[in-house]
Amino acid sequence: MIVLAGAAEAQVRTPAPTPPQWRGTIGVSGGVQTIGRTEAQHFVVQKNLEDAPIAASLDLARAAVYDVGLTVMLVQGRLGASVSVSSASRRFGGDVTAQIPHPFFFNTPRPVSGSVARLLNTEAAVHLDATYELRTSARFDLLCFIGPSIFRVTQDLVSDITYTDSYPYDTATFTSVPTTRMSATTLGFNLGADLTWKASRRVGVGALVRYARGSARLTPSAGNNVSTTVGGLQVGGGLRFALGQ
Amino acid sequence: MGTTVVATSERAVEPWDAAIAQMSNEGVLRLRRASGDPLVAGRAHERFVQYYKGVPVDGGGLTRQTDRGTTVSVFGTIYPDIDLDPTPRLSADEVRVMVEQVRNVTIGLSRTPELVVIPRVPALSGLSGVPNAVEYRLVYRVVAFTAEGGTEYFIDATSGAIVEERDATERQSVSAIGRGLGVLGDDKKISVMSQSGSFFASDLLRPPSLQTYDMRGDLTKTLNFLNGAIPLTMSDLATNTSTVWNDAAAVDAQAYSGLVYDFYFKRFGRQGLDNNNINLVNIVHPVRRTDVFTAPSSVVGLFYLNAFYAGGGVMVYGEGLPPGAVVSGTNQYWNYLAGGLDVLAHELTHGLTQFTSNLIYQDESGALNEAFSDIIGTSVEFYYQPPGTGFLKADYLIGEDVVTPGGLRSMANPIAYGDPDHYSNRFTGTADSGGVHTNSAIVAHAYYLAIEGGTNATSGLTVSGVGGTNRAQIENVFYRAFTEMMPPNATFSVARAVTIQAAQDLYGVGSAVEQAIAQAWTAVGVN
Repeated sequence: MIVLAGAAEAQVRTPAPTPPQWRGTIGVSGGVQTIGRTEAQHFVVQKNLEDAPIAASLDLARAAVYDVGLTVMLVQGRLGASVSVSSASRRFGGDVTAQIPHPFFFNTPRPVSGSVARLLNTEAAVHLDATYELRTSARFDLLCFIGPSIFRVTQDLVSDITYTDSYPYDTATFTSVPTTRMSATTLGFNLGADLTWKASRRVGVGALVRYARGSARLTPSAGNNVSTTVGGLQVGGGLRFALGQ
Repeated sequence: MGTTVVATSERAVEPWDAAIAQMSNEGVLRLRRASGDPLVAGRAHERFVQYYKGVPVDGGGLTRQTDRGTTVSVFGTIYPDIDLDPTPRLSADEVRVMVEQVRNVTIGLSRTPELVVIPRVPALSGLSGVPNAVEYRLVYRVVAFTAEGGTEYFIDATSGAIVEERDATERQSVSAIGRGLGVLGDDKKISVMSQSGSFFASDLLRPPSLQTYDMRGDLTKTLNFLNGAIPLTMSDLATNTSTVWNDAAAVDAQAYSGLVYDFYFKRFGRQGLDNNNINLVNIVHPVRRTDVFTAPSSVVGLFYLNAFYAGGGVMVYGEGLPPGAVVSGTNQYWNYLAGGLDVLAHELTHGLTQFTSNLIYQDESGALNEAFSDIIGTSVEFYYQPPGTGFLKADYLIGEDVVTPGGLRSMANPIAYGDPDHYSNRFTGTADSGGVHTNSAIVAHAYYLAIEGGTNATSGLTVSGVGGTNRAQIENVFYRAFTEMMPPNATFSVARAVTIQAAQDLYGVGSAVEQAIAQAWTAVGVN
């Protein structure tokens, strides 16, 4: 998930001992990163002494998201801070086209096309947020948050193409695409809200909405640069455990 | 001659079953291995080796596949006409010592030279139109390894001469693509072989073996090879240390011979000269250019200012002249002959003729032989090059890219080159094997008229050609006629009948193609 939020309001006032000066919540959530995206790769490799242009259209659909967060609120105030770690993961595929140079002639490319599947994309992020409690009651806490995010994206990218051909080599047939797993770290931001329904003084369930965003450049090989967007709209829910007062 | 056995039908395998039984009883065949088929239930395989008076025959033998005792197929080669004394004059120990001294190695007893009979096909006999005869040698086979690799030697059991060498190191050879500038400076790809960091002019991508050997100006070695006295080895292949090749003649020989093979395959569905992917061997630099001024005129005429098919899939490309030198009389400069696509196709097509019609290289049949080479040479140009004039353009001139200016012959206008364009003006002397080159122009001109149309300058008769866009029709007709139906002693008149028949077969009686061909023959005076 994502963070979560507000602790239950005290039900009984007891004078002693001195209460801790903070209250907090540990939240554990699961959900989905709802918005997919399409990424394009355009690069060339050398085949038969010529450039073989390769184009890939990668369809990154929605991803599963897991989130663990700690939120600490000032007892007397509505402001607080949170740190949370989220991880999104998905398998994806796409279409690949290429122009394979002829082994006997210059400027006589042979088109090939095919698809690729079960590529991996993962996004791990650490979110450091300022939180603000919008509403609190005996049963519900609602807070919002905003802050920077540090993303670590790992993604499979098309790095080459394999094909078969036979004499007289005037056509070629797509076989597969070798892939390279690349990683990059980038800074972005996130903002969102968390609504907790308190089933008891210490335990509740919450719903989380977060929009996180960043961008990274992945370079499987020279000339093969991919600018990728990380994050997206995340929706999830899970358990909330109140700490402190 | 070896008998190639490809028997896959019940009718075909039946006599071979009987022959195998008889040859086995006579000791001509010995069963080397019998095994079940791990892939197809009930099938079994036997491998027989041919022996001659107790001596194994290199490459001779049969494989037989059976299905529950019934023969399914028989493949192999049998050499039935071996006739030699199987008693060696040299002993195995003497041969071993010889090899040890030559290669400076020690050969152990486990490597004792083995006596074998080796069939060999001399290379030089193509121009006569006579099929190559196989000769048999009693030799010792011994393998010697040095730090440079292993070599399998075949040493004459009588004289001790090295009859053949084969690379005994089964290295990891990888096909590679090279590039280089041809004789005319055009950038092109060549299919080569990569091994141990070097590149060799050996095509591993096309079905046949296609190799270019660099004789490095050694005429003696060239002649010895052509006469079958020595083999060429991997060290004789044109080679380069990178994929960018520097030897323009080798680049063109390797590239163009591949293109001609491709043309045969793509246009006619033919697999090489013999339609069985015979090895293609290009010979470049048979002499040194700088020696041309001191070389005998016969050498100049054959190895400088010529290219020829030497039989057995071997082509030799002349070295041409040093820059600035010209042939007196014509004032033409001769470049490396390998640089002419039509020249190369012409020579290869002599091999095609040898394996098909085998037109006798004399008088009219010889002129038909030459004409068919010019026809295919020009067809190959039009297949790969854009029509036009100048270098690397498709036209009806022969050799114009390497013999400048003008080339050697014109199919469109033979008279301009001193050749007849009409049968009435044919050469009737004895020179040039009865005018095989001169009179070929009459046939080639008919071919030209059948495509392009026009008026014969001598007869004044006009032909309605099929047009350049339909040239494949005329190519198909001439190919069919010359490879399938032409007898070896054909005259021009027979060629007319055969090509018309081929046109009727392919395009119908009364078709425009048939009419164009008939008109063309009539226009050049052949009836």
